[in-house]
Amino acid sequence: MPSLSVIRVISTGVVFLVFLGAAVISLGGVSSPTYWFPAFIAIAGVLASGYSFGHDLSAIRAGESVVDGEVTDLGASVEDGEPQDSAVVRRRVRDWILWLIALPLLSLVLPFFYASLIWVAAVLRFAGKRTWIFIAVSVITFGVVLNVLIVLLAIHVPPALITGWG
Amino acid sequence: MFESALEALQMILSPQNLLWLVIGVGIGLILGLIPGLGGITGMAVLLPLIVGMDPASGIGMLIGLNAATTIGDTFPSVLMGVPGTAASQATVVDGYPMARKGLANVALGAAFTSNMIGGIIGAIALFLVIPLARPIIVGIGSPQLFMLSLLGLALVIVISRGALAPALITGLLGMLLAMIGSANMTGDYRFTGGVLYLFDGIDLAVLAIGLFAIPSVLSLLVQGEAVSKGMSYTRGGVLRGAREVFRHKRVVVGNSLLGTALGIIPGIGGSVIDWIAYGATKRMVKKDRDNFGKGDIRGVIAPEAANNAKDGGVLVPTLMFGIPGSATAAILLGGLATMGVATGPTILRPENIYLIFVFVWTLAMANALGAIASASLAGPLSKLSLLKPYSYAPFLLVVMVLAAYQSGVHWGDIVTVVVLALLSWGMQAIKWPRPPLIIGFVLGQGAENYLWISVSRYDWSWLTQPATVILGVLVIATLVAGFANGSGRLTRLASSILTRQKVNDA
Amino acid sequence: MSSKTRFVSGSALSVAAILALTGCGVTNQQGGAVDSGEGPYYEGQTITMIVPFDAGGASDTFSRLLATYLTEYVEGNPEVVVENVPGGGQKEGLNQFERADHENGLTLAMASGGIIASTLFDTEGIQFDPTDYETLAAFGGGMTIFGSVAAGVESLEDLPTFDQTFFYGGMELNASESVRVFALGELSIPDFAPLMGYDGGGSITTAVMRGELTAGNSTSSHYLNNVLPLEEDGEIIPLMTQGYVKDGEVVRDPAFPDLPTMPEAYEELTGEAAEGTGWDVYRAVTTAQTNLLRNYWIHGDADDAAKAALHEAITEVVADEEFLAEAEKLLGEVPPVLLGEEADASLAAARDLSPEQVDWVNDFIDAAATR
Repeated sequence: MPSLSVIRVISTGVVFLVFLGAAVISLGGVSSPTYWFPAFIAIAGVLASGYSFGHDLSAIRAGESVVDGEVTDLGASVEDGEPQDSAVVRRRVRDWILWLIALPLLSLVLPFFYASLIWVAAVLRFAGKRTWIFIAVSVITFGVVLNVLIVLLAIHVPPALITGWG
Repeated sequence: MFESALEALQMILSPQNLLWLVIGVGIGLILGLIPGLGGITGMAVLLPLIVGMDPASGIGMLIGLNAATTIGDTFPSVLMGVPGTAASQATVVDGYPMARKGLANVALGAAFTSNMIGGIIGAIALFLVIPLARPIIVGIGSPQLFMLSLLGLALVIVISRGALAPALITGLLGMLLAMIGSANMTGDYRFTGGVLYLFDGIDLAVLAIGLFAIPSVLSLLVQGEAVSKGMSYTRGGVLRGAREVFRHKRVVVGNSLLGTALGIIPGIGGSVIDWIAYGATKRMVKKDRDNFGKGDIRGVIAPEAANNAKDGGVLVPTLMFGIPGSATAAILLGGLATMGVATGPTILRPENIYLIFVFVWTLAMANALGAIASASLAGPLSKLSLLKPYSYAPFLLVVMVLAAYQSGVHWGDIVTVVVLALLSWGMQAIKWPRPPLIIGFVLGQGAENYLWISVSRYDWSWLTQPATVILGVLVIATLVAGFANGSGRLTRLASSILTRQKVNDA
Repeated sequence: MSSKTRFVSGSALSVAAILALTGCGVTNQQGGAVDSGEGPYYEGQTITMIVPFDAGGASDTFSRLLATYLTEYVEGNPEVVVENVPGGGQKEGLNQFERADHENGLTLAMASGGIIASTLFDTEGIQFDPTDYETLAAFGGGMTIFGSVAAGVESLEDLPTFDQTFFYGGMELNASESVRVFALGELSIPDFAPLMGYDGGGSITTAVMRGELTAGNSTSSHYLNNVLPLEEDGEIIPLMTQGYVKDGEVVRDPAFPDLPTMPEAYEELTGEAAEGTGWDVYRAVTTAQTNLLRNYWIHGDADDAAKAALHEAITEVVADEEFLAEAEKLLGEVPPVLLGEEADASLAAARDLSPEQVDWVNDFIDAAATR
């Protein structure tokens, strides 16, 4: 798997293309005021991403990593805490991407409420390696609380599009 | 006037009205606590209950809900690094690092105290400002609103550590995302690709959950470790935090006033105000500016004070002109209309003045109640930061996906939120700052409309209007100060272009 | 069986049991088939009223008011629940109405005049046909044009001689707005400049107060609730209304009997009669905008018993004094109402535009946008 620096350069390139596409669309429609502001934003984006792409690329060629700077961001990050084996981290990241996608996929087939309970149970068992007791208790409690919230707050629940089971 | 104030107070204190106030506060705290669910969910549900309610009860409930949501949303922001609502993002920047250092209860104590003080100052300001509201609201036209949007953007770019280009990229990406949907001035759809779901653009709630909330939880799960190993002050941590607030009086009061002022200006969304407060505070403090982002308590006090103060400010255009300052204010207007409460300029008439006081007292009491309730919960709840993520995080993911679905009640919401979450997680990995993205998004569409109206109406003479000039100077000053930053960032940037060396900024 | 296996299977069984028991109200299944036996059709049922707007706006609040009265008057007292389905300028909500079960009559929809206009002019994404539906009731609401005293407008007669650029503000240049822009543009104002992009009636009002706009528009209820005090203070002058359409002619808005309608203003200021393609389109679109401001629809192929119950109930609701009083509190005026077939006829008239007229509107919007 390529290093993060390379991924960053690739991403910058992709974003550059996105801005370029937006710029093309906007400039094409620039006769109408609808596209004036987007044109301005897209062109600025092309410039910014182009510069960043070039800058990062030359840094990588010089053998430096571009992902080591500090950045103002918020929330938890996989790098918090003690450094862990990067292969382990990558594996977990990949696993979680799959888990995250699995939830909506499952709820396309089963009603969301039940899909989510099954999903949580699966996550706790296979990713979290929790005991069955823990899973049973926590899933049931969660199910009850969620049910109460859904009914009390009239929360809309996504329908199972594929099977139509609710 | 004094009699109206007393009359209003008596109305609020009646047991029935108090009960509804408490109910509103209770629901608001729960909604704030659950990341992703916000005031809008609750208010929409409470609306049917309002029919036929006595105005003081209805106001008590709605305002209680509103105020409590911005108090409760601090819990997940500090304890898990997950913004409870879109308005609580800036709190995470310093609140979460504090939790990681074992100072979760201190952060929470400080936050709730600032909430209370900010909310009360906001309530007082509501009362003082409403008679003066007219010249303020009438005086702030589209050119000034455009400049204010630029100022907000400048502040966020300026608080970004690190290289500038990525911040610009994400900011511009955010603004580009805001362009999806229909353009107000012509009604044409842009960048939608014929997908009906996108005709209204991307919803802010979906963006907020996908951009910050879900990636944060995912990171916690990947790490697998508890947020912090131990608490520094198991007893009295909350009080410690409260005391810290009084040590930083200027930060609290200044940000409360700032929050109120920004709330008054219709057109500056609630989710930007906490960033502006954070950025302004970071700019303006003299000591230890670099500590911001690493767990500086002022970084918690500032946005939390501004957040609650803005509730008072937002009521000014809402009550005076029926211009809702935020989505929740729009629902509030609907609730008021249902109860037959007059809004609009008639609210200044002598027979209606007591209504203003009802709002003022309700705001003050809701903030006080919510803050005290939260502070008492802060001790036990802050132990959450000691739990391993698998105990709570998977459940949170389910709730957040469900919460995202509430915005448009459309499967597109779920697809969007998952896609955004994965992209955002990637952005975090490659060290692209994400705050500029959401700010660019929030301010982008407003900026476009204001610019369009300014240019159409005034050609280019709007640039020379006195208020516009003052604001423009502020924008430039902010950007310059941010570049200069005492570490020669501008010169370093220039030399990096020349010598192709990496620019790294401490 | 070892104790561990027994334990695990026991827990699994109880988990399954509890899961099956919990989960009431967590899926989207509608409450089954309607009892076709004795008793009122809607007995014990829940009716969903789809409102294609966010919670809290005037249309949503009014719909909720109507919903409570319907619950009272529909035979069998079904609970009428409002479901907000915002998105796509009402298209999402009405598409969802189309997808709901037609025959059981358990879904109603609220639609505003804007979406009716969209079925002609902005059809992208529309997956329903209004002619498939029956109108229970259509509540009207007018639009008022008012001028800024700060900008120098003191009366209607000032318009043809206004010596500066006349900025007229609106939110979005859709079909409804375009006929207003057209009508104003015909009034011989020397330098008429429409200015779209404001985000609400409140913003337009403050812009007018400020003098940033020379004139603006707002719904009559917004005017009566929020702008009237400004008129009384002399800062805003009401100029004209869009008017209602009766028997093909534009008549004055009952909430403003002293204000001329836009065709009347045209005739007064230019001396000519309001005729021609533009004015025909004006009449059609105004029918949708004002006569049919808030429509409440049921599927045309719903069960006859359902439709009968609803029609009967709505007739009683609009005659209920309390309902009218609460509506007036909410809207500032008692809304004119068209029931059943009268409303359907109005809807047909609103959509009765020839292809040339539809093209006229689209061309007008394009031309105005690129000015």
